[in-house]
Amino acid sequence: MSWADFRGQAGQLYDGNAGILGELGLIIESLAEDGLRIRLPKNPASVGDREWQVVHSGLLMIMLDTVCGLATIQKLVEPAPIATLDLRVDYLRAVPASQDVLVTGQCYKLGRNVGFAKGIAYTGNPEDPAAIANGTFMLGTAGDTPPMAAALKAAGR
Amino acid sequence: MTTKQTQGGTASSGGADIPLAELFDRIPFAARLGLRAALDGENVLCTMPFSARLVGNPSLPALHGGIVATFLEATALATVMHAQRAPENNNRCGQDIPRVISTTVDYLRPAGPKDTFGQAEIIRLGSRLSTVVATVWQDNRDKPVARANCHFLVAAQPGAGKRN
Repeated sequence: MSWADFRGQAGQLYDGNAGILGELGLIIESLAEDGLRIRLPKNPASVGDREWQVVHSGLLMIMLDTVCGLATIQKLVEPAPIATLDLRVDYLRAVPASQDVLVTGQCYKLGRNVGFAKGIAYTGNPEDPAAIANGTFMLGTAGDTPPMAAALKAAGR
Repeated sequence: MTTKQTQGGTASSGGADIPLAELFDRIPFAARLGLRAALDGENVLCTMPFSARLVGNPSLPALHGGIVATFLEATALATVMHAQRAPENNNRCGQDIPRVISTTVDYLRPAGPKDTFGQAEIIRLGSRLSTVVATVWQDNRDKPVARANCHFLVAAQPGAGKRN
């Protein structure tokens, strides 16, 4: 399977995944060597504050942790399990629950043991970020490679 | 909500309060994750019962890092909202939800497919800002799974400042 085929088929992130990513229905919008972008379709169950009708901050953290981790895995020579060491999220503005959330991720440094990644969450305009994250990841941790990484391997990465 | 508290300590956010146990029912995404808050002695104790829906990597399986982060932040939030009430209303909390400004999570151990518990310590509760450190654990309280440092805007007046 080519990289382009994989991208075309990616559709739902972790499609069929029994965990949180399948539950949320996150969609991979683009996937390239220098980073990726995922989308969270709007959902009334995503609300964090009914009065203000804004997206819950936890959803932003889930998306930011996911893109930072996947961006790091994409840079590995061989897909391998990684673990989040720390994640810092700054909430720059509220996200209206009436809009889809987009998150881009990029791994900007891959060391021997640790990867460093950043993620940006926004709605319509990438120039108007809603949240920014910096994450560090331990590489080559115990356990099986996450399904996404296995899929990347199948795609010839 | 006209009284502006300038002293640290129990800055009330005004308005009616609600039972602590109902807090997460009022936050749709927290309810979706099954989060619960209750009093343990004088302190807030939060619980995240295990569900397969909370898993990030099913092959381990381990809770998703973002789920652990969400639970840490929710634990910090519940503790702040409880602290904003007067001591005599010990099982209640405010209903205005403070806005989180930033959260920094340290992941200390893998979070397995088990129930997770959380408690938080308020480092500072001022008139506008609160700084809280939350810790979550599973089997053993002395072996935390993760901890987080959270900053909340506790007394932003609706309409104050720029709102997008």
